[in-house]
Amino acid sequence: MVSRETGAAVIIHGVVVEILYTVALGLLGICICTIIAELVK
Amino acid sequence: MKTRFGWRDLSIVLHYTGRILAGLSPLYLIPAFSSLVAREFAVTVDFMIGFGVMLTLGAGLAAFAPNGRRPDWVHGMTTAGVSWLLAMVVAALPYWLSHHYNSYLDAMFDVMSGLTTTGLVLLQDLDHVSIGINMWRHILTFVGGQGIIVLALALFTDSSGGGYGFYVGEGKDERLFPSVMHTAKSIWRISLLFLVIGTVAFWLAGISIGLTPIRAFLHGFWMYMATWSTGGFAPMSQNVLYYHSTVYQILTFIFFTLGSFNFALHSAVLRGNRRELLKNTETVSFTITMSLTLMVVIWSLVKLHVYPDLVALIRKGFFHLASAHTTTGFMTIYPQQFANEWGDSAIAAVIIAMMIGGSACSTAGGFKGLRMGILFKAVLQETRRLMRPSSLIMVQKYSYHGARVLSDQQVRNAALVVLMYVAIFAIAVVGGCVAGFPLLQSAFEAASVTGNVGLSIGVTTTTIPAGLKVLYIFNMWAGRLEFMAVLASMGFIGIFFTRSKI
Repeated sequence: MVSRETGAAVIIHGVVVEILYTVALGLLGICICTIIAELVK
Repeated sequence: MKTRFGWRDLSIVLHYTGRILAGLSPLYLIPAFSSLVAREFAVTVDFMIGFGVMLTLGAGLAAFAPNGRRPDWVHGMTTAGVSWLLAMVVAALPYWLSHHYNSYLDAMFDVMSGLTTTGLVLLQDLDHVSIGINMWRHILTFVGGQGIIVLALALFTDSSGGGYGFYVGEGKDERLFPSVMHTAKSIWRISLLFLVIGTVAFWLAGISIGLTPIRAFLHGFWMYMATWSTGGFAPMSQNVLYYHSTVYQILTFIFFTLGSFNFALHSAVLRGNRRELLKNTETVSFTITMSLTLMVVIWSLVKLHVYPDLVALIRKGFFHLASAHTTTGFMTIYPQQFANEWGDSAIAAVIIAMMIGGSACSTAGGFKGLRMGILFKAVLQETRRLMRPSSLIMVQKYSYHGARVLSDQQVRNAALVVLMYVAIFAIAVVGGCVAGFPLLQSAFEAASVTGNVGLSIGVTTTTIPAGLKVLYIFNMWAGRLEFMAVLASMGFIGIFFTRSKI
């Protein structure tokens, strides 16, 4: 929870982890696009 | 047990509706101040009129004394449903005064589109609207994403009973804390934390593509609010295409994906529970359905030779599918390109993605990944039950902030919401067809309004019949509130006026 009790370092770490997770999802999407495009060609 | 509703019940609903509206009225001061700084004095006056009307109406309704009675579940739900409708009517006033709308109905359509984070637009000449109006559009979609009731609960200083009814009425049923008000405040803290990060990121991206620092900041602020709330509004009529920027597209992807996640998931990760990201039923469901629909879209686009290379395929095909699945509605192509270029199978996959949507208790729409996961687990459980001896008791578990046992009640609730979504989707499809649009285009637009997405295939324009606009407003409202508050509001009004018993 973002609250006064939660340390700033933990929150920043959480934000970075969430952003990296979305980047990983994006890379998964790019991989799927690449594979399907190669298969269908 | 209560069997009918009387004036005392109505006064409770009106009292709390008034308090919510009065609590929302200071929002007008943000665009009023922005337009004042930008020397748009006429626009400032428009917003001060809106502020006065909202505050007066709110205070007037709040004057209905609840006679010391605390609101119960039905009052909370009805208040949530009615508040959204009244907020739509009053918030449309500055729009209408701006002369950028052909009718008050169009202005209300855009307010509901903003509040429900849908993102469809009937505004005329978007590229030349004032800073104040653009600020209002994006404030509405940002506040709507978190929830107007959530904002009001966060602002309430006393512990009003029935708060959970208000909260659930807005389509959020996940408590981050035992106290609903504490939960509401936490949701806003999470959103404001990401507001700072996102605005700075978009601001720097804007400067890097040549916008002046002030323009880059305004666009960054607005784009972030539309992105996080999965709203899909943009300050320019070409939407994200206006920026011609890969960095802008990457940022929008990151923040609309984050915006489509459950606030309880954000809360868990920000407290250090990173494993929840990988185990949560909603993220797993989102990854699977996104991958499957993406395969169909890419297969169709490659087969039809729509885009010449892989980069274009990713920046158009993948981006729009992600925009649809997170119910954001950002576009980098024109609506008619969906109809003329994408092909039926890609359109069908996008429709399915729009209907599924993002996570429960998030800014996203659709019938949500959690319900998708629950229904999949229920099918799995039934299949396993058929394979085993009848005397064996089957327990199906799913991961959602720890292992949970799937109950029949959860399956029933999930199935009912999905069924209701499909029902109002079907009605909107018929409405589109009656208005003269082809079936697939009607289905695309119906999925977009019902799932609060905002992608358009060209149906939603100011020239469509007023009846279709009203139907779309209803679908946006019902889809956002996930039916409970809508049913409660209609039931309350019906029972109140007919004086019938429940």
